[in-house]
Amino acid sequence: MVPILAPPFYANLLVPFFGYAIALLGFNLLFGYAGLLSFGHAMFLGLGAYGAAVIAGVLGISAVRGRAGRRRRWPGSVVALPIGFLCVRYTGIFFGMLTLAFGMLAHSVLFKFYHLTGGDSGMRVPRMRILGLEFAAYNKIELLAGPFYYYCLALLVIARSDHVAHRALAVRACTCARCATTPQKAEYLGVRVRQFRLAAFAISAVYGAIGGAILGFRTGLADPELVYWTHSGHLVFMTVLGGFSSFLGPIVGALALTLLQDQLQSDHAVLALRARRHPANSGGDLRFPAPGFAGIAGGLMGSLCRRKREAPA
Amino acid sequence: MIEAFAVVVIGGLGSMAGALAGALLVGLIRAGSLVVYPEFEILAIYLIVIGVLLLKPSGLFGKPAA
Repeated sequence: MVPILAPPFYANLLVPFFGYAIALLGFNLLFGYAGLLSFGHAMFLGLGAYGAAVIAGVLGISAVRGRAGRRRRWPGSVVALPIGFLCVRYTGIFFGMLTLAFGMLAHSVLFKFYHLTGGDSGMRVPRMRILGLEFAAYNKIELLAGPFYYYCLALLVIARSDHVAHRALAVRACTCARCATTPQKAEYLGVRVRQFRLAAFAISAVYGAIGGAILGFRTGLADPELVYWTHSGHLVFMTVLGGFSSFLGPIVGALALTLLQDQLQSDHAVLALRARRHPANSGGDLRFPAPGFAGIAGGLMGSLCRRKREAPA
Repeated sequence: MIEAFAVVVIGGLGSMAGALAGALLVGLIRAGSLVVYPEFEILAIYLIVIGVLLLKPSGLFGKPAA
């Protein structure tokens, strides 16, 4: 419905949401079900984006079957297995620190090795043929916000969540949930906890790579910012905002944060414009900003306080 | 900020002497790698962090976790 009803701006805005949704499906498997908080997960998003750039741009393979062609998963899983093997020996803060260090390692490689990765200017992700159809004639917004690409993405998200639900919820996550609460108990029951953690890590990495490929395709650029640790934090925010350990929670979180970010950015732009127009008046303007999210939150707080005051009476 | 994190992890969480040693190590390595091979400036730090975490998770000067 969205590509037909919504204006192209919002349709385009929701494209990264699809990417994040897929990445967070995997991330939630690791965080919500296996109980491992990874601070380096943006690494896999970056790998997906760079993988797409290398495959399409450098190797010149331009036909992609489905949105995220099979090949793009490999960089994710190939890198994830050894790293995951090292990382899953630890839990809690040590796991977080290790993944953070690996993430920053990836970032520094992408950022510093100019001749390989283009450094801070990143790599171009050229337009690909999707399901054998050629899209060179369209302009970019038309393609991204157009119904065809949209339905491909939506189908992909649905297929992925179905896939995760079947494969992971049924078999792995039940046991993984047990590792999260009491690993000893799980081990006593004969569950190979470390293998399950490793599996969760690898699967989440693959989903991260697919999500990253979608993000890279949207901007047409794979840049090191995708891999920086703040971006990992972004993923964690989304998951926590939507509620981890519930299956659809992270997707809701991704949607909320994508929209919220856009909203705040437009608010700030308005404020900045106003301040520029009335430099002497900007202080007065800032004291009464447009009722953005802060206003809504303030209104909610006010009504809550009022209810509390009324309650004891 | 992220570099301070690396320093503390290398030195050992909760250890003052470790933080000092970690800071010295990180500073020297950054400067040294700039001279030898500039691309390795940041990479080297995180390689050390990973090495320390894998071999001695409590850090160089930290008390071993119970």
